[in-house]
Amino acid sequence: MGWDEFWNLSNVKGSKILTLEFLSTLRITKEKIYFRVLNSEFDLPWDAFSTCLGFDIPNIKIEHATKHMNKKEFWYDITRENYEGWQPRTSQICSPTLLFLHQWIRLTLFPQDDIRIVREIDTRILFPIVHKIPISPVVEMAKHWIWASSQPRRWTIEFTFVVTKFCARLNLLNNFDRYITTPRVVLHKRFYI
Amino acid sequence: MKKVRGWGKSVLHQISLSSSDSSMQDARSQASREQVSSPQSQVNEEVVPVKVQEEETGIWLTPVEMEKLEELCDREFIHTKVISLDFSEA
Repeated sequence: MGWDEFWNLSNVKGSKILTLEFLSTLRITKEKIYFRVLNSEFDLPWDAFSTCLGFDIPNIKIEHATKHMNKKEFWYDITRENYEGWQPRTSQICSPTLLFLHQWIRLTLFPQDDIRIVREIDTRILFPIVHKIPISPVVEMAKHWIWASSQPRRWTIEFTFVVTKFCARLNLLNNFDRYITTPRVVLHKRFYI
Repeated sequence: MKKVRGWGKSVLHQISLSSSDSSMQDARSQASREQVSSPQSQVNEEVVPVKVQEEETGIWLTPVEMEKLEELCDREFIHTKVISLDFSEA
């Protein structure tokens, strides 16, 4: 998928102050993403931002990659169940690998409280994964950041890795030490049993 | 403004280059730590909102961005959850 430089976030710490600056200044258009971090401005085309986060893929458009996707047929392919319109659950996915991938997608790309629900965007990312179509999900991720940052206060901001990873790959974090101090939640094997 | 396509892996190096690389100027950081008004910024003063420093965080923000920051300040920020790669661990 060309996600080799992105997927492993175990050593990427989150920073409240960097994320605050990032989210407060974040603006997106169809062509670009704009934000500031460490008081530096970034006005990047999506493919450049995608590469900065570790997605090494030229084709970044999920809508293009999923233009032949039939949602009901794909749901049947991965669950052997008919899509009935209710909230699909990750436990319905037959393949352990796909089930694991979905949970990783929900934890990492679109973190939310309940990772058991398979949302529309999840299937639109699983489809290219199953069919080995290179994509980068950064546009959809950015839409999620904007959506999540506008939610009520009880919603936790979990995607703090984004700005840290971006800065680290550009070597902007020399001498920076203002990371979140609470321990990271690590899901172990027992979580899946 | 020149469009930069086909970034590939060199994009990280390119963004890190000095601003002398004109092809990167549209994508690169444009106002690093420029809080002191320059002649150019004075020319654009009417269209570029003035940034002020938020006291608690020290972040420089426009009034609109400041409102967003105030909405976000009380939220809980946590490290992104990760899945242990040690599958032998129960």
